[in-house]
Amino acid sequence: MIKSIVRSALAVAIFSSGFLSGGSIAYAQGDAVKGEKVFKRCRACHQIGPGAKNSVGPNLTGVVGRAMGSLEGFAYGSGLMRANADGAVWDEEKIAEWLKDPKAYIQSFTGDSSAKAKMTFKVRNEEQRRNVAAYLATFATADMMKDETPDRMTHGDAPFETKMAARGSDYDTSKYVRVRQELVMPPNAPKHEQVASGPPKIVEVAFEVEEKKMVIDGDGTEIIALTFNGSVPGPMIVVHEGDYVDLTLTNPASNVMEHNIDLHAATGALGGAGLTTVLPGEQAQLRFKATKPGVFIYHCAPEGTMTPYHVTHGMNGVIMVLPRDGLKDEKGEPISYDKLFYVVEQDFYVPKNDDGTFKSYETAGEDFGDWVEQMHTLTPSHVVFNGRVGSMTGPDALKADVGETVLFVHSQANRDTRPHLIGGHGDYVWEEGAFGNAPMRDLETWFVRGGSAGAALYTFRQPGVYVYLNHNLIEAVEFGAAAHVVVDGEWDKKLMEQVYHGPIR
Amino acid sequence: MGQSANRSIKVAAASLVCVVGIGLISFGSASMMEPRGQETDFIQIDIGSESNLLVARRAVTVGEWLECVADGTCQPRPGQVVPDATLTHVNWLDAQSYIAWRSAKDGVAYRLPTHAEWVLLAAEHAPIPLEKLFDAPELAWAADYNMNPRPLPESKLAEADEIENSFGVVGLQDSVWEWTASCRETADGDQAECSSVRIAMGTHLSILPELVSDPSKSGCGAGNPLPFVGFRIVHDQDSTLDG
Repeated sequence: MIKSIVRSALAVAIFSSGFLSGGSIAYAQGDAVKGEKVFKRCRACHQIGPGAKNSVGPNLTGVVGRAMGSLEGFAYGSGLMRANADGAVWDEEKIAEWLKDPKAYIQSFTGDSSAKAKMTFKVRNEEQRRNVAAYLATFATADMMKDETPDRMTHGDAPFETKMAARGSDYDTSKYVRVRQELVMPPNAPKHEQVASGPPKIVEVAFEVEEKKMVIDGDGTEIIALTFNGSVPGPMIVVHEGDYVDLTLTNPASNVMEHNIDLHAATGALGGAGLTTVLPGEQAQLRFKATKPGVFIYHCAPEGTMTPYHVTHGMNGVIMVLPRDGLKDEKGEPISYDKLFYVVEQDFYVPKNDDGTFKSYETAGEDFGDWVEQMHTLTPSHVVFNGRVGSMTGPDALKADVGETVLFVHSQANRDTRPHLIGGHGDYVWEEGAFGNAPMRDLETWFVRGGSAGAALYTFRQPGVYVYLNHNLIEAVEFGAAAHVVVDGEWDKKLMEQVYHGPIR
Repeated sequence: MGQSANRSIKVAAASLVCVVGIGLISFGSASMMEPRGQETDFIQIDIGSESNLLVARRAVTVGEWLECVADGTCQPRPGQVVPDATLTHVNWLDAQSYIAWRSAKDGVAYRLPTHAEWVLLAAEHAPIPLEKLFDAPELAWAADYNMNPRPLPESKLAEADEIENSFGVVGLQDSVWEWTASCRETADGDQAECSSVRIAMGTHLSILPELVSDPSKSGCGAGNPLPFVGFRIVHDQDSTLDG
């Protein structure tokens, strides 16, 4: 729940009574409750309480009664180091005096006029100084031993220093069977059951971020792609509704940038992005329950401009969550597929030189300024399937046989697209990708909204070559958003026949 | 801009050596009239270290940046044309290029302040960490979302650029956040662990990717977007470069 003041007034009252703090008789005891308010300003540099650490200033937990300049791991100024050597110990009175003017105090206290103090902050009001000292006295050294509250850098100004790395899992998942999904390169989908056998499982998925050079067209245009597992798009994940996805995201130290993953199939924490932000050399593990059946995109979502920058450099892909009993037609009858083609449409915004040629870069992030400028035009330099022009044409064309049923899964993380199979149809189409809805029947072209995935099931009836494309023909033909399907089998004259071809009769 | 985070540090260090000679023919009338390094007002501040810290009274101005641009080292930055204005729209690597150029020109080892140094020189108005929005450890990722109004609204932040603090330093509370050398609150200037994010300081602490020069475009994440980012140069007493 939303947080309230942590320390109870009761505890403060007991400890600030003066009996425990050992203040001298002449010293007027401060009010710890009021001191807590003053201490808010001290928090700019100091932490206190369970889990507190040295920051700009030393950890103040247990400072009253502690030897001056004695906290391990903090580089004190020369004054407190001298006081430490002299065996001086902090009490409330000394703290109240120190706060008036740390440098002047330590010089007078040590008798060394060249003594240095790091603390530049002064509390001019005497009552406030006494109150803060009384507040500090309410924290015993023993508080330092208590469990820390884990803080994790995520976005904006979240504190950085405490990692959740040591945090294990609290939720008992021992009753679930764990399976590791062997990920494969697009346009393939990992081996999976269409109808789940057995109860929900935990499906382990390992993603490693690779920042690498990739050629994206036939002219040899290169970008420093940002990838999940070295491919654009990232590998497809397939689970069933009710399964857990246990995803490990690794950002090797050899990378330059910060990464994370937002899965549209996951619930909470910005789709997991809030819990998976990893710097080079870090790893995060996220477990989430796949509660909604359908095809969903996932993508990297760091902060601000970095989000579209990372996505337009290739960091997106699809997770498919199948209903446990498989796909169904509009009447609720089971339907299945023989093959799955995984197509992710990718917009690139490659900057150009003055002579109109595409620029090239050597390291990840080097193109940032130019790329962002190009993104702002909302006009991609390339719109391609699976990372490059021609990724599924010619030698890499998709293959099927007459009579085979194929599920085309198609996503676009940014822009709208309109898949179409030239010479075929969408027999059953989940345009919005949600398998809980009845599929639409017999579409010519279907619409996949930017930021989503859709699925279309088709049974090939004729052999030959089919073109599967974004039926914005400019994007397909001029920019690259097209794939070919080569289908083998017997021509069916009942469906089509060339009756005549020749000079005009 | 140009290099990766890791490489640029080495590149910056290398250019420190080779640009020294060129510095003598610098542009800008101020540097030709006055002794080198005098056009920026530095304030000597005792922050408890062995040697005092010399802190530029103001953040780097557009005029100072344009001198570096004229010299062929720095790149023009969008909208940065008014010489007296505080420079914005620079990323961390831009700041490093400027510092390398300026150090060579003046023969002084300039650098960015560390986060701790910045907080100490901001003394009486250092930003106070926000109260956590949530206390459940599971919600730590969202705990720093700021639902409070800013201490100063954005319009007032701009006016705050002439506020002088007790050390005589100005512009620490204005709308231009300042890059620091630090990547973590506790590990000042620890280059090895910085990766590609750095702390920028203003009226709140912000952690920014090094490549960002326009931080106002904060996206879907939590956190507290800042209007602008620039930088201030400092140097240690007796930090003159040899040769």
